[in-house]
Amino acid sequence: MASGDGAAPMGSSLHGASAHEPAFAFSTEAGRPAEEKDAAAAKQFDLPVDSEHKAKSLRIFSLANPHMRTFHLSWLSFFTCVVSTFAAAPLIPIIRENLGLTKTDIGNAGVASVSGAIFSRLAMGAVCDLLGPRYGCAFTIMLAAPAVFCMAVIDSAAGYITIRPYWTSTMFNIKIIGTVNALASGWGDMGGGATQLIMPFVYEGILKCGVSPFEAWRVAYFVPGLMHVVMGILVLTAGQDLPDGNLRSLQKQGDANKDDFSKVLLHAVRNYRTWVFVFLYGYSMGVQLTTNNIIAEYYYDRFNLDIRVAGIIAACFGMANLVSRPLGGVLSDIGARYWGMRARLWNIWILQTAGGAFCLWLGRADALPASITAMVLFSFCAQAACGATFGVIPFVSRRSLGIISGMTGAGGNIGAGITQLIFFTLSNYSTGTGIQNMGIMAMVCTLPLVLIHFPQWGSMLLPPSADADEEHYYASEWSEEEKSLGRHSASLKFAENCRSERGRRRNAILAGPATPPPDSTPEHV
Amino acid sequence: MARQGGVVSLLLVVLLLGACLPAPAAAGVLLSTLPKALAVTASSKPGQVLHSGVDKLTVTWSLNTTEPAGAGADAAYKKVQVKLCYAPVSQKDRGWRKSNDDLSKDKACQFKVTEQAYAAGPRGSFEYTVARDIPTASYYVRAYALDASGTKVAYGQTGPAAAFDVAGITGIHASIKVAAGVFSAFSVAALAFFFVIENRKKNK
Repeated sequence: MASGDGAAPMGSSLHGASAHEPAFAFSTEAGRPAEEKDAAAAKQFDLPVDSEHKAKSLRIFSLANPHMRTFHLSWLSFFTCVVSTFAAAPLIPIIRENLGLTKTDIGNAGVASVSGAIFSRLAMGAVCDLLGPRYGCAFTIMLAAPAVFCMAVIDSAAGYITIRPYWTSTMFNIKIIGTVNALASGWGDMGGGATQLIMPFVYEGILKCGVSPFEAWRVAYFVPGLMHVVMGILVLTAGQDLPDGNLRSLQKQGDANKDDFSKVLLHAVRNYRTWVFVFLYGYSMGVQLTTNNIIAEYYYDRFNLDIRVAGIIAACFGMANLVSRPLGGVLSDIGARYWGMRARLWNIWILQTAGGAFCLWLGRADALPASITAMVLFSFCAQAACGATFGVIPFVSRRSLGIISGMTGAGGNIGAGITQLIFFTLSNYSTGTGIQNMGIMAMVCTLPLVLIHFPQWGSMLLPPSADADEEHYYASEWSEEEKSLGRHSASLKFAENCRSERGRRRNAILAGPATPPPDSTPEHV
Repeated sequence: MARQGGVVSLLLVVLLLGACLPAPAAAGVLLSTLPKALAVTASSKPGQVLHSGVDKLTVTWSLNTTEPAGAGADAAYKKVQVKLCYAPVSQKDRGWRKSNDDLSKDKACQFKVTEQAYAAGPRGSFEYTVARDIPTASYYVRAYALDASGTKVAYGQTGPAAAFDVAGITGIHASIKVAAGVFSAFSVAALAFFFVIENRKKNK
């Protein structure tokens, strides 16, 4: 899979997120303006590329090597992992009988499954930098395959709880190339919905062959397990680390510019915005993960539906990711075009709060059509909020983007674990009430978003400071010594490109790339 | 536009699903209103363990002569439906097995032993081989008397005090274990293979 640029600094695995292009848009390239094209490269690759051979556009239906192929391998492997992570959810009604699980057991396993991903999400950045994304992906997907297969042979609640975190630690670890984040992660997240369709259908198919239920679900588990193996082999054979093919160039050129991991981590941790997003993401993505775990069982139990129908409904929740997550990114970008960063922040708040409101409705709905409508709207809003969040994350820090993305993702999983624990495991009330409470908590816990303030762009409630600018904000992550070595040049370029986050009105007043004093005459209005 | 199309089609699916799905059933018969007119016995002893797929259970039922309803009450009974019900110890902490007085919402008696015609007079009986999909739990037996329209009009049960255990199948076969082992080993081996080969190429 194509990684960041050849001289990738440490911790920049999710690099390439341009400030300029919209979060969903179709360029796999770091935020640099188009530089001189390499004529030879233009002939070598199917897609137009820049001087680093990174693709400048995306053609979804192409399998061309290496860019499009990498994109498809990325989201497909992510999809596979999400499928296996949530493969148990639609089959819980059968599994719980076979293993004699209690409500507490099921809840604990759900918590374990989302918690397993927390550490690996954090570590994946480092793994990709060391081994290259292709091996990072292949390692996790193929080493997780045995855990999936083991699911088929467990026979106790303890085994169930133990196994689930191991393969779900692969979830969200797959490296997604730069700015196609929202698309690829949305399609991968769709796996949560797909599995609610796939598993019951496979299970019913096996049942029809005359196998008893307690054997049938185990056999059905081979499907996600085999998907892991197949995807792992595909990634190893068809994927490659970089446009030019090998990890060696990464390592040869990388030394001079390799950033200091501890400094990168320090800047991520010291930026308060990181922590706000870590917390917040738990109430868009976290809520989504929890719902993936409980929704099929909820419909099966509350409305007495059969397992396949419950699975189809639950699938609608996850499948909405196909459009809703990119939609969140799109809305973020449209808003930013007019009002800059403030629109992006309001966008997240509106979507996430609406998601919480629909979740509350979902828990209260007694009639099936109302319940399904509430669920669909909830899924759109929560998933769009996820996409919108990652439309803002690239701007929090240029130097520590990889770590911040990883931490935010981990925050999503932590939120999922906490939510599952409080409302569905330790609780004495019904799942419906748990869902209501989850909705209320999501609405309340989105309020901290008002704290996010960028000096140069403002926040939800406050305007920007008059004398702040992007260069200052991004350059402040580097010490004077590092600046004198010119290590911050990439950050400066980035700052230049994200001037558009000021919004149309303010940008019309400014002229040219350098920041003029506020009272200069505009060149063009 | 594709996005709008996507939203519209998803909403259509939702509406279709809502239309096709069965309407919520009207409230059913309440267990508390049914006379306990049947006397039911099971061949198992309390606490005995029956293995699913292997062991047999004989259930017998007859009109309960101690009930004030008397001899003529069973004229309306056309059929008998016998079910296995979870004993309270197996319902604990498992909301999906909860009892409900409204029989249309009751989830405690999920497994049907038999449904057959009711013959007034002689004791009815049925020999049941415990099915392979019965999970490991404690059970007792309940029999409903149905009238001509299939509505429950009376019942009888062996009672939770006389619950017996069923040891369900695990569902694990040697073939599943072998397959899981083989595929897992293959997965790890394939990864190692690629890694080694490429390292060798790199070092050449």
